Amino acid sequence: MGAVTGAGPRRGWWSRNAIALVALAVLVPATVGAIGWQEWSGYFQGRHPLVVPVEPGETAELAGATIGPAALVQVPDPQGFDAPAGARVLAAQVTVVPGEEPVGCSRPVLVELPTGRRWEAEYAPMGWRGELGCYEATAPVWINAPYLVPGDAGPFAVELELAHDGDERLHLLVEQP
Amino acid sequence: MKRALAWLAGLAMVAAAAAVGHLTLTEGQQQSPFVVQAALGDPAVGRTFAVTVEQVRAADAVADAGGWHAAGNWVVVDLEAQARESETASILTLIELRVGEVVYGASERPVSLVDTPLSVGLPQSGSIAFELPESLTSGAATLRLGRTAEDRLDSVAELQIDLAALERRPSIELRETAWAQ
Repeated sequence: MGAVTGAGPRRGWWSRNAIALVALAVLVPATVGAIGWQEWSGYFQGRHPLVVPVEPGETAELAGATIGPAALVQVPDPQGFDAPAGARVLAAQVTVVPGEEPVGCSRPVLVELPTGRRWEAEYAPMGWRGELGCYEATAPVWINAPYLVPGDAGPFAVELELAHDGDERLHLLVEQP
Repeated sequence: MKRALAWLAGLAMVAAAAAVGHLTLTEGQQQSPFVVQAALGDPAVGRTFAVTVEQVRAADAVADAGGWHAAGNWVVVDLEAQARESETASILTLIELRVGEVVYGASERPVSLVDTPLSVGLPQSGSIAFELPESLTSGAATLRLGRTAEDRLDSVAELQIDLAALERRPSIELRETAWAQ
């Protein structure tokens, strides 16, 4: 027979630890939340923009602007470019129609789909028609950006990103020249 | 018996701790570049670039295609280079010659491949030149080429050079940077 202590009935384990249990119930989710927020916010801030594919001939809406359709053509007379033997001069042509706000866009980048290799636009020779990018545009812009690529490279997509909208970048899929 | 066992266990743990301390890589070792050993005439392929060092010579004077020339103790490297993935910031920023602990950067005086943006898949040919002290004509040197001056955890192409064995010319004209043939 054990000795009986105290006058009233003995309190159960749950009620004796009630304060600690409440504290646990608050602190465990708070700790998970704080650590999770810290880690995931870094991930979302530092991640690459989402790549949004746009089918050939289609347009896309981004930040109020209408982008596309896009085309990729072989430059028929590449004399103004200092191209090595065996290389091709291609031009990415994209129409950008601003919405109510002025729109800025990067120079498009030519992306080789199977490998992810990326070509930057070349400087265009005198007399070249079209723009290489757009800056605070309020009227439609016709981008016509030239690229020097090896003869065996491709197929390509045209990648375009708007200024002030780093979360998404468009992969404009095109018929191959 | 128990006491001896406790001592033995303690000593074993100290030894294990010392071993772990010695075996663990230092921060410098953990972050060291991935060295691609280059050989004359063979492409050295790094993560973001590929170079082929074609010849390394010494000269008492160099000139560039624009008519600039200067006397001195020069080491001239003729090479081909291309980018592999992207043309963004595609200049070979790390171009150095290490002789022992001393690092010599490529000369910016002549027009050369220094500061030339590399193209993806389209190799360019050119030269780089190092101006060394007059007395430095022998010893082992390492040519180091990389995409960024910050070479930690990235590819660096290295070519071992014996300075005394280099063919020495009275004068060398640097290659004009152009598409490789």
